[in-house]
Amino acid sequence: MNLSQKLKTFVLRAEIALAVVLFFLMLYACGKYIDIKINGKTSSLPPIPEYQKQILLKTGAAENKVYIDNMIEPLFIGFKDGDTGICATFDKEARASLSNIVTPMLYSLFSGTSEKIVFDDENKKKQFITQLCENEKYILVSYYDDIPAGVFLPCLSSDYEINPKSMYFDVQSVFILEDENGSIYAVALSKDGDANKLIPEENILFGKISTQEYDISDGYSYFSFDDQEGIQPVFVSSFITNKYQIKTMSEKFGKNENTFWIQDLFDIFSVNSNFVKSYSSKNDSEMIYVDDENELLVNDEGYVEYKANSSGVLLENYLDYSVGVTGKYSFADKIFAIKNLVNLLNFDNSAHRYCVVGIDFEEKEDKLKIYLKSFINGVSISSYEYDAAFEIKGNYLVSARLYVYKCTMLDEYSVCLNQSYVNNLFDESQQIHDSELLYYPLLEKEEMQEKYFVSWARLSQEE
Amino acid sequence: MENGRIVKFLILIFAVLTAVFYLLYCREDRRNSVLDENFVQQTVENLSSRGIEIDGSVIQKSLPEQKIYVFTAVNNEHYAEKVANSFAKVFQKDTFFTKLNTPDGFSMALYDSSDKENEVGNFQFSQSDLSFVYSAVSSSISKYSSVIYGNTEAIDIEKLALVEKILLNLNDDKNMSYKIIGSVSDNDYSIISAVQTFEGLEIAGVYINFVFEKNELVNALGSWVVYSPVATYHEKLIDGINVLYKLELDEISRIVDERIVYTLKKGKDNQYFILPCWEITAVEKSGGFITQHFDAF
Repeated sequence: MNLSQKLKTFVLRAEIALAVVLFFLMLYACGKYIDIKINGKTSSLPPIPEYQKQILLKTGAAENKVYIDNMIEPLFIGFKDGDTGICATFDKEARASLSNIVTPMLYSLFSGTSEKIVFDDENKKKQFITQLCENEKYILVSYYDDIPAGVFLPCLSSDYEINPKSMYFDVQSVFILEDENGSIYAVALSKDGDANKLIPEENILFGKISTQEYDISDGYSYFSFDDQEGIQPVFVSSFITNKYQIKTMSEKFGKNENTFWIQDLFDIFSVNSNFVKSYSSKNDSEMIYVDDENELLVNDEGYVEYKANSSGVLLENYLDYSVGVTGKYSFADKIFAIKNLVNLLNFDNSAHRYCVVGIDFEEKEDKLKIYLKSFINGVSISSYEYDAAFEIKGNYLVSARLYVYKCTMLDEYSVCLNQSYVNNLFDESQQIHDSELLYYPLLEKEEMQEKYFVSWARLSQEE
Repeated sequence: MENGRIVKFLILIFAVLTAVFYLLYCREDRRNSVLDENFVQQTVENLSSRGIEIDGSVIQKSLPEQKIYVFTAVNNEHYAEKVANSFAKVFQKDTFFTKLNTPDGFSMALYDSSDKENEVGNFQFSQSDLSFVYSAVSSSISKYSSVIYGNTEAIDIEKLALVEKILLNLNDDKNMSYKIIGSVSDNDYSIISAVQTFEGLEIAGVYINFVFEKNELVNALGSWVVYSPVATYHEKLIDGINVLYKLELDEISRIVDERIVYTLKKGKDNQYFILPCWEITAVEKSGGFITQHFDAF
């Protein structure tokens, strides 16, 4: 073979090699084209695992949902330093500032031990309370109504591992005091004045908290007590507060089952959307959805009601963990489940917060009822006794009723009148004075307007 | 000779077919990466018929391709120490910390090492949203929680350098960075806002406000991601047309802007997600501007 032939053979081989390479390149390009045509644009990365996707969807990844950890909120947060008592008004920043100091203290106090304070007679009890109020240094938080002490820890915590201590008394206000070592302890008082001493598990210093650091023009007010016999702190000056806008979800979305919020409700209460039948009530004010096991009602006034016709919804649906070896969810688990359920139902990232205002427990039937009321910056949204009620039987949610609001703080302001002055007006006009009557801040609708302002309302024992 | 011709012919055929398939692929890829102009036009018309003003150029034609990232916050203490040390490094004195567990996080008090009675400042951390507050003991100034936009050119160089030093200390991951987005100042006080960025996009809601009294940093409030992603996922994301219909359109008179940013979301246990999300700026019928975020996932 001469050189020319060798060269030709080499060129032919090279051409064959090139043809083979091009063939495979063509196959690759063809494959890529068919793939993108059939499957669209794909990624070499894996999709998000289903369990993580569910977490994102459940915690409302969409639409900026705010997850609320705390389900207990004082109406009043203040402190006394010397002769002066200062408290946060209904200002978001001021309340957050004092809450940041108080919440860790409350957490520690309710994780600790308690000791009942026994009085010989009613006079001694009143004397004790008067002295408590006259004390020169304390932090005071008070709540809308009596709350069982055992509720505090699971409501304040986001840790499923907590182990609440047995505390069987009611709490309406907590005086956090300083002992001789500079550490905190507290006296918890019920609405009737029954007192319990709370001793924290670990040493927490009372720290420096001075009235000079808080400017009353900056969301704070002075406070005193409504007469000497009462333990209800009242704002002694008028102040400016934001106005609000309140909408119910049915106002916003209607009751059409195609709307996503009805679909969300089906998911939350395990209503089978493939088998659900819907019908409206006679006056058309309610829409009712029924599947084999559940009934869901959406009312014009803005509440949603769920009733189980069989066992109900297993609490595991609202918790990240299944029931342990005991076979029963604990009281704290049940509070966590309701906390998560409320977060799921708070569809529209509303700024308000549902807080526990009452608990009923029937031991015989293992039935727990939890009542919540909605507040925004310490102001009640509605005059209803409660805005949500949940009933748990064993490990199942068997009924739920909840007003679903969208509450927005507006950049408009109104004057909130001096509370002690308003309370006196109430008492004079109705010719009553009873220290057990509580006055609380409530959002009231402006006439002819879609706006709400803060006013004072009275809660009687009968309500 | 005959073989050579056949091979040359095959080379030509394969080269042409490869080029054709490649061009088809590119066309399809582009079609899958951008919105059809007709859809955009129809959307503008549909919104206009509902009384909403929108310019076609506002709608993002490119389909978002950002990924979903997962990272794990080691524990409260680690996060608290990382943040506190990032601040402590810029103070011109030796410091040490005392720690305290709180219901949802951690609290740390910062002391001057040369004077152990002298508390310099304190930090409060929340594990639920990686937020923290630093307050200097020397000042009683209130925290400032709203993000400030604009006026960045007026920031004092020394204060900016201090802020940037802290932010650089906070960020280990090369994809994480920051952007100074605003400032405000009067005679005594000045505030600088910085937002965290990931792969060059802002993480909505993850920002720090630095408050200075004279030249001293007296307060800082915000949240920051100090961890690197441990997993990355791909999901089909909502396009720039569909996301507009997530707005409460009855209350909107004009859509001003939309863009993709990231958002931070808490997952199970100590897991967090960095998710792509749409940020839409609109004008309400009442006249006010609103900025809303919707997860693109």
